[in-house]
Amino acid sequence: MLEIRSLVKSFGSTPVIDGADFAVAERSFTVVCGPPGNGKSVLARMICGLVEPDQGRILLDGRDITGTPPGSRNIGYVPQSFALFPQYSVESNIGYPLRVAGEDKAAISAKVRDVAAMLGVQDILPKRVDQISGGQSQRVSMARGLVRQSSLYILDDPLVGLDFKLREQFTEDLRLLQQDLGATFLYFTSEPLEAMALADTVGVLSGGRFVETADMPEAYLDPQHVDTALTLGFPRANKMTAKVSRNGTSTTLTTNFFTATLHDWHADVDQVELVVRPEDLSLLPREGTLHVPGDLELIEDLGGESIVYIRGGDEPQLLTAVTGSDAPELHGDIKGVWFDAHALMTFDPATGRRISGAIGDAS
Amino acid sequence: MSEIEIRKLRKVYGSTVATDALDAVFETGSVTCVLGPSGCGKTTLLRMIAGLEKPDSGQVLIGGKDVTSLPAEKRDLGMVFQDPVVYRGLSVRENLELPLKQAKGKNKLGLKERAERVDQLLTIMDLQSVAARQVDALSNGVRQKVAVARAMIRRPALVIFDEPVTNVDIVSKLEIQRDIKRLVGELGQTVLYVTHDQTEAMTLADRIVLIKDGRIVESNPPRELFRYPSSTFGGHFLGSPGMNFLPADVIASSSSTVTVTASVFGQPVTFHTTSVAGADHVVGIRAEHINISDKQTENAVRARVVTRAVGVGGRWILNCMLGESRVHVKARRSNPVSLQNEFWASVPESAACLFDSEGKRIGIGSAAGDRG
Repeated sequence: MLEIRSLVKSFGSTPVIDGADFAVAERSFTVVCGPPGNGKSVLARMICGLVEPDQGRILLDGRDITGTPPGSRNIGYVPQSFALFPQYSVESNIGYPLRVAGEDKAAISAKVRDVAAMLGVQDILPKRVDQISGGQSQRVSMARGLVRQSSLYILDDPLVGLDFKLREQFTEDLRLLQQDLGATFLYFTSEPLEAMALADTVGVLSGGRFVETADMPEAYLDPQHVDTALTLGFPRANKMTAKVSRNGTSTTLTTNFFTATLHDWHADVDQVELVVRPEDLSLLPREGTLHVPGDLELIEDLGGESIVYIRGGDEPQLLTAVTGSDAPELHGDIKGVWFDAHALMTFDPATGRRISGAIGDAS
Repeated sequence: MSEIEIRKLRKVYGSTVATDALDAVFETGSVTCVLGPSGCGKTTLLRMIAGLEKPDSGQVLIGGKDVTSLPAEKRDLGMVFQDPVVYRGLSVRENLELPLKQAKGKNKLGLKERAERVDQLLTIMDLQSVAARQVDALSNGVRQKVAVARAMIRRPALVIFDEPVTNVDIVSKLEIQRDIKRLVGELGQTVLYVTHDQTEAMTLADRIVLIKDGRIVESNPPRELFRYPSSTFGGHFLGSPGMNFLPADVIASSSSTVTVTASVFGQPVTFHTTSVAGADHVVGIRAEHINISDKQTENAVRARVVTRAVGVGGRWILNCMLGESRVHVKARRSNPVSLQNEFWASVPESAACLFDSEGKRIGIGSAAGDRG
């Protein structure tokens, strides 16, 4: 329903969005994910008409809206910051976009009540905005973005700055809300767990372009670009650069962490980027796996899982492993990590693209 | 090193009760994390202990001595804030030496002892390589490490940390947490660490004090709190996702046990408890403790997957319907059952907690013994 074609936006001589192509399917929950400060907000604002692109086109239901003023686009927008009117009531804040659009009082009141109930703020409608909590403000701000009926809503990192537990709760609510409204949600975030919990489809924005657009969980399970592999997943996956050398039928990969001889892997490159997920690193020796010796830096306890940081390699770097909650019991005995060569994902350093062909046995 | 105790500490701002009759003991040589959502009163508590805020009533004791009316500088404590407090224009070494040079009376150290003290901290915190550098030239993360070392250098009775890793990079965050553990291990320092981040608290704490609406709702070692929370709030706040809560129907009770049914149990489960009265009991189960199988076992119930998302470490977080109840289940990606849309779910009795209608834990599944 929404399509952007070759969109470019520069500030000064720096392109922030640099030829972005992207399509959003009707009634989907689509997430744009990328690190903070990489142009996500600029892109969101261009779609809403608040920022003018230098080049490229934006199409909504096949109609070119690139030059259409924001008020005529009929896109719901929930911005990152609250921007609520502190002196007004919650009800008046939520109803603001409808008053601007000139709707009549009774209709505004009914719509405000509906959306307030969906977001669980129906009991604080008469309160002034400066009397409510941060979490409530976020809900009110979201309600204001959703109150105008639209088939497409743009949500620009609306949970940023909220406590972890509130974010977790919101994430579930948002998913249900999108289903209830039967609308299309385009959601921008830098939080991988949020992206993975919400998305039907995820677009990974890197260097001003979409390097990959794929459905979840496939984008996580089988990423086709190195930035997808690194952007999606918590904790962040381990990346290493390997030199490739060939000797007859075998190939040798040399990294800062290990040297491995591969028996059935062929790719026409001198260097590869290797990515291995934290859950694929084991703290205990297993036969036939590669070993990186290292020292324990810290075990982070999440309750259900432990994130284990190991310092290893010739020029010591951190490696991240994830285990169940049993890691603290291994504490004194951690001697590095072991992993299966099959778990290594290989990418072309020049293009970032995945190199096809699984890595076979290694020694 | 001294034990810190607070007694009936209360602070009211206008009509808002920030903290309400807080009682706690922070043990010598251990890390106590004060955890809670924004606005729960944890910063007010910290400021009252530090002497930066005067309580309306109650006492603060350090080593058995009432310090409630003493100003901050006379309380023998070090503090580390969100942003590093260091002396610009001085080297890392000079920053550490300064508090020692300023010490008076019995706390005054000789030149050699001062150097030893500084070297010891530089070593523990891996700061030797930057010891001679001006703090201005360092990253915010390294400056925060210097601020930690500076707060510790006099070996005060208590070091208070107020969300110290909120504004630093990820590597510095890990190093600072590692260093705090080392400092407590090697120097026996008593630490009070305030955070809203459950992972930081679980990682660092010997004991977590969980605060909600100005009251302490939990005070337990982290693993115990995670597994057997004393309150539904504790079960909800720790872990991601938080604990599952399901309505329980009491079908039998004696003076020391209560037997309930709940949609997560294939058969009635007996809890040891002395608090059998009341209705509206709730059963709590962690997503991690629900086993899934494609075979029907004795205590299994049918679960239908509603949504499936990738969570921490690539594990599935399965949002399932068990009868009328919505429940989170966690499963390893390598478990083939996790890809099915329906499966059998079972819960070891020992993993279940029973809460009363006020959210207070009143029992643990019988196989866990008499922990009540």
